Amino acid sequence: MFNNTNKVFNFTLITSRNMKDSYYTDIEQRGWMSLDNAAKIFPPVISKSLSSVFRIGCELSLPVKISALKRSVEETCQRFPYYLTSLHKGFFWYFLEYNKNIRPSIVAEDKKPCVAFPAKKGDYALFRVVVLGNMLSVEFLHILTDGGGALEFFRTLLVTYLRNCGHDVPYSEGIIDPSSPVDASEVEDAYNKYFKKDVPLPPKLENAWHLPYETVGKDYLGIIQAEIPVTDLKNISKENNVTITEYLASVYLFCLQDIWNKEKRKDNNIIRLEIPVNMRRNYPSRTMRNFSLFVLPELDLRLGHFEFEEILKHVHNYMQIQTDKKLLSKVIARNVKPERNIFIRTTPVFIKDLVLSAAFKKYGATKYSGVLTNVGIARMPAEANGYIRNVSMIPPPPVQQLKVSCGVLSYKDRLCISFANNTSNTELEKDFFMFLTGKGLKVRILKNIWDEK
Amino acid sequence: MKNNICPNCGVILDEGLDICPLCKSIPKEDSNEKSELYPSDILHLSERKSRIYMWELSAIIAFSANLICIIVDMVIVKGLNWSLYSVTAITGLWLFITSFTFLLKRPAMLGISLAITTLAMLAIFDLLSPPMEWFVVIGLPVSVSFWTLFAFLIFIMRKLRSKGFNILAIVFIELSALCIIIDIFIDMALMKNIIIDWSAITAATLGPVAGVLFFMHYRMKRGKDLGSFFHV
Repeated sequence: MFNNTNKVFNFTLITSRNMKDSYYTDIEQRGWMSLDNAAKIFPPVISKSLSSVFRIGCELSLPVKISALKRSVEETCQRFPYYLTSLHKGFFWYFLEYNKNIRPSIVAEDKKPCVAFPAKKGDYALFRVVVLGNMLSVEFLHILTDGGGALEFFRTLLVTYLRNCGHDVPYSEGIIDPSSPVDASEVEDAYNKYFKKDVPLPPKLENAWHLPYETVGKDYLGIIQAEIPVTDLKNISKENNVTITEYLASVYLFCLQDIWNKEKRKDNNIIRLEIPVNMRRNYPSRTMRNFSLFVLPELDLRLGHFEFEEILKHVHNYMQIQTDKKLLSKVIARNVKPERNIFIRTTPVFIKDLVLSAAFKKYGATKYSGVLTNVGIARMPAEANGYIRNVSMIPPPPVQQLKVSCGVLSYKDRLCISFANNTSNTELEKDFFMFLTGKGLKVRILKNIWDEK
Repeated sequence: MKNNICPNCGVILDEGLDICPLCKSIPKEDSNEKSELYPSDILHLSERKSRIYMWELSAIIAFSANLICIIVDMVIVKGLNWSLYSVTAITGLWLFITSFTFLLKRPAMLGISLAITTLAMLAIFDLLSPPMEWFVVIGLPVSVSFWTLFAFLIFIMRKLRSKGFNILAIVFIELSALCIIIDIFIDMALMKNIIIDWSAITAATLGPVAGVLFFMHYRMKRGKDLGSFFHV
């Protein structure tokens, strides 16, 4: 795969001139694909507590009709055949095995979201559909795709479902029509495609400070979700000459700084946020597999206290520089280079497992204090507006060091912020939302369906 | 739609939210309400409590059954005769129930407890008709072998990622091993000379079946090409 990147694309090398039948024939011929660069870390580290599963969901105006949903899942899966795979262990690497009969399970809401998949047991789909009353969600294991790919699948599923319920909703707003042909580029390993051999690597980062709270237990995950009017948030961001993501990231860093100030024992003086960036916006890729990188705006608190306006300026400049295509190519080079190394490639997978899981335990989240992932806007056809109340994104449960992670997704005039927390302390969430209410924004806390279970 | 505003955080709480999930404060209008207690709240038992109640019930039944056996034996035979066997069996059964009640979530301890109970029961049965003849030479080694093989099977099952025909194959192999062990100890006890005969036929029959099952599980079911398995 690493010597010849095109080999991966052969997986779907029947291009758009062919229709789905040809595509299927090609998939059946090969029957498997390598994990993309971002997915490679997950197999050795995923566990019950670190599920690496994220969710994109919505609240509908009416309870979900299960028969229509089943039909819609079937139709949608036909258009996204590269998700009909299960994880298997090879001799040198893990790989995804295509199985035309594999389907996501349609399950009722569990006691908590983003529960782990039995991925390593083989023959299990790596995504599922979750239903509770009016709530309809999809949960994806990060091995399969990132928020960008999952959102595309979810939008198609949602429109297909509404159509199967008898509503006249078109596949507009860039939503993929299940009857359209599959494009070869949808399954490309974009990291390898845009990897440049001779690019220097980015500098190493100092370790970051972490929230001091105790985690509750391996099975615990607290979720707090809130809605904010997009227009108001957009206005306030515009007044400060920053984007919504930059504004929210600044609030996040400001709140982390406040908690850091209250701490007596300060192991580190760097507060750094990890913000995934959808690389499809920077590169002309249509891949439905993982294709995101991280930018890491930071505050070096050795320089003194940062006012909110200073943080806004810092974050804005960081984001502008770090999302520059040339700098991003450095990050791609850092990530892809090791997997092209002949010694690493020919090391048996069980040794890779040991090394990667040990490295993840030691360095997993040492470089950042928090995660804020903004998946963007869930654009839906105007005809669907009456049937959908809101759309939200729940990030993967945070690693033990991190304690809290945050996911953002907007739909129409509602921006939904979801915090996933594996401690019982909600100080960060409280500070975050109180800061926004202090700025005159209306923050509506959503009912937590999991607390009732 | 009814919405509350948290007096502390100032956020709007969605309909049905009685406590602010951020600061845990209760909106005013709901603060004076007392939560109602329903019969189901009182009657609802946790799984552990239900198990303990069942165990207590089993203790009463076992004690009563033992008492009845002893009284009937005393009345009819004027002494303790056959009731000793039934008391041993009933007590053994109750000890099994006890093990399952308290050690269900600790499989290693459960296995050890069940093995000790079995051995104790067999030893007592042998002791009840002196001299002690078969327990040490056959009962003890066969029981220990059985529980060891069983523990090994559980261990393997927990380690295996994909379970199917491979489990059945392992059971067949273990059955073959157990048959050979039984054959050896019976020969040693009865003939003082070990001749592995019937158990060898059993093993020779079950071995190939296990092989076919392994093949079906790992090759035919997967059916994957070597390219995916060995891709570099």
